[in-house]
Amino acid sequence: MKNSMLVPCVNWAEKLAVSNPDDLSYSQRVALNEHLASCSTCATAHANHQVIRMRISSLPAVEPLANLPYELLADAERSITRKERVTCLLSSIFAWLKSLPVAFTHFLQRVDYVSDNQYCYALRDDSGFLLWKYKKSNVFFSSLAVKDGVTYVTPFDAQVFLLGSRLRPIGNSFLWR
Amino acid sequence: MSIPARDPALSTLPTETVWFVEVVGDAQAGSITAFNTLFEYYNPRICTYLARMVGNDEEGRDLAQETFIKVWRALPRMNDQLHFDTWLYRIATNTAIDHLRRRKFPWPLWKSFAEQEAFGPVITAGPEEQVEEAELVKLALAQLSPQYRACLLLQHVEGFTQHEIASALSLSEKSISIYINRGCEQFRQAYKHLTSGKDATKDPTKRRRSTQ
Repeated sequence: MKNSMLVPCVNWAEKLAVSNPDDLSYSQRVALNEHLASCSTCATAHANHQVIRMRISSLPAVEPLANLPYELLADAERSITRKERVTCLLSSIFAWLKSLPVAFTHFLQRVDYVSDNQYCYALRDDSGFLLWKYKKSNVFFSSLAVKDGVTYVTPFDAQVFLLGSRLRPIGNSFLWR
Repeated sequence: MSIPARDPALSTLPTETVWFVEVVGDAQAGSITAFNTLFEYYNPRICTYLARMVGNDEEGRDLAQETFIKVWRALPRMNDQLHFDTWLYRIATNTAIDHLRRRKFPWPLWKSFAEQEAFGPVITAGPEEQVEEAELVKLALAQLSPQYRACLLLQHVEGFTQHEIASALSLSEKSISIYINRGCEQFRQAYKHLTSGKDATKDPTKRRRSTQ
């Protein structure tokens, strides 16, 4: 079978397919035209490129979409909001974890105290909010201090208490395992 | 009334370009109206480009919709407002290539004229010749690799420079030049093959000779 592929001059091969005038400088265009006038192979290859360009560019345009799909854009927007919401949720979870005692979060624990009754220990924050409670057991506090009927422990003992309690979080509160 | 301060870098650009950059900027800031302006301007071209890329008008329209949704999502992260069009065509091209990869049958249009004849003869008369010619060009385009096809369409239909094509396809200018040359050659061969096939199916003597 005859190979009909044209082999244009090496130096000009790439420039023959150029159709946008901005791709060549003025001097390059002049030089190309001069070369095409003297080289029949390159002239034929150039003409082939022009025919291809004409064929492809004369394809009829496709009738486009009627209008912008607003509801889809709204969905896209909503998905961004959802992402942002997840980011906010994660940052609030991190903030909450930061506020938790060191036993769970490895962050410094604020000073807490343990109130004692007959059956359980309760660990409360400074405002009296119940943080933890624990069945009375063999939890040992090395440094207990009683003030106005309330037993205080050091943060270190509170950590030991929490570790020993094997608590697990459920929602915003903690239940027994 | 005070005139709002403009970016000094924009003062050297033509008024239309400045207006365009401002529209892109507004769309980036979340203005649906500005985005609609961009959509109305680019939508016909993107639809045609994608239809040619995947070889199907309906799929082209669907992909155009997908492209504009992607553009809307990614707009806040776009850096170069001046080159919005190359960025848009990059997204469109990637969408088309992804679609071609997903498609079970790579080319629904990829049928030779002999195969088409099996389903019914192609009648060529009057204005129908133009339709036939368009079909031939589409079939020839369909036989190119997606990269070559994208290069040819961006250059010949969209009028992009090779630098812009390189930017849109994330390739070097040197590669674009090579791709266009190879694409042209492949197109020429494919078109020639298709027309000879068509002639063979039209001319019973040629068909008889080819089957002997």
